[in-house]
Amino acid sequence: MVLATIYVPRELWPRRGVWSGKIIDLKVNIGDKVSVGDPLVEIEIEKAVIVLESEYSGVVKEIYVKKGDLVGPGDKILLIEVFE
Amino acid sequence: MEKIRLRIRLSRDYLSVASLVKELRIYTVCEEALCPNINECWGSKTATFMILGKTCTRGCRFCYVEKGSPEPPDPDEPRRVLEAVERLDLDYVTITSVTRDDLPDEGADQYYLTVRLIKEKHPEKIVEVLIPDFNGRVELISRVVEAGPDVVAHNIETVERITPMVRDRRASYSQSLRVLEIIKRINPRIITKSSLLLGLGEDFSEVIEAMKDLRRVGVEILVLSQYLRPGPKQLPVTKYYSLEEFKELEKIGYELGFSYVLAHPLARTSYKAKEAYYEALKRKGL
Repeated sequence: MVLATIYVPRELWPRRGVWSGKIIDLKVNIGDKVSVGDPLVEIEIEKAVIVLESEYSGVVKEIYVKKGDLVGPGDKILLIEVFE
Repeated sequence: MEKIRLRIRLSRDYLSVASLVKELRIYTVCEEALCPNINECWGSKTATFMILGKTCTRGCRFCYVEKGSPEPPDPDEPRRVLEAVERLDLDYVTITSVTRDDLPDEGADQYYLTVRLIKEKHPEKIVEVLIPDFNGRVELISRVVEAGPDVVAHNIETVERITPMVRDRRASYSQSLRVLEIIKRINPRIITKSSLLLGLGEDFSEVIEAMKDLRRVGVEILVLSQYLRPGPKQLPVTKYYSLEEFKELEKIGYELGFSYVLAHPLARTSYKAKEAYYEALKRKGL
């Protein structure tokens, strides 16, 4: 079983230091199947809403955040069991 | 305030660009201006490099790039940009910068060195620069042109009437037109390009006037896009243009004689720059 943790990407703006945003929508629930490209979560920052898409096909096993939470680069969002 | 939606998928290509710019300490306008197309561009392994630091000496009221007192130019920056170009295997390179009113040469030499380095090592690569107005100083504009870029872009950003409200007081509509005119005068073979952001308070007829002004100074590639407010400190959006309106402006642009018109809400000056360049060449019959 391969598990992949989805983080708020540090690589999003690699040269910007600290930034944070608010979770405004979770697009998945525990047990949902997701495919590559499916939206997982929406994070609102000052200028934009980041719609983070899945890089994996799999099943959502854990969700570590809830709507309204403030998150920053490196924070865990959810855990996906990846289809092999 | 309606916000830009950035779809982000951390694909292998996106991550390769991200790790490269971090490792090489290169600024990109994609990141510094929070460009809405970052996912598409980085996901297809292209980026627009921003030289001369990340701090701009101008205070244009639509722009998200950091304003203040910049650090001195980094003499190693041209080499790192070249390395990024090589490692990303870019055949079309787009370079821009902040405005550097604080430097005696306003950054013209850094442009020269960066473009020359790329062109000397890879003459086959197409280089596009998006330059500041250099306060209209001919010798500085000449320095950039001498380096041999294939495309030189300079943005008028908005229509004449509201320029004083939208751009920094040191920028002016007529000065920007003059910059574009000077580039063509120095080297008529260089393709020139300019952009307008729509939704800052202009009238439709004023946009057409601006387009005519750009044609008058020989601009060949026109980019029209929707202004999106980056944050509460920037100007509010006065109007969201429909796709039909963009289509109409595109048609008018071609009627006015532009070789290529990119009119789309999310278009930005360097967006699909390679396609714009080759389309412009094709329409010019080159």
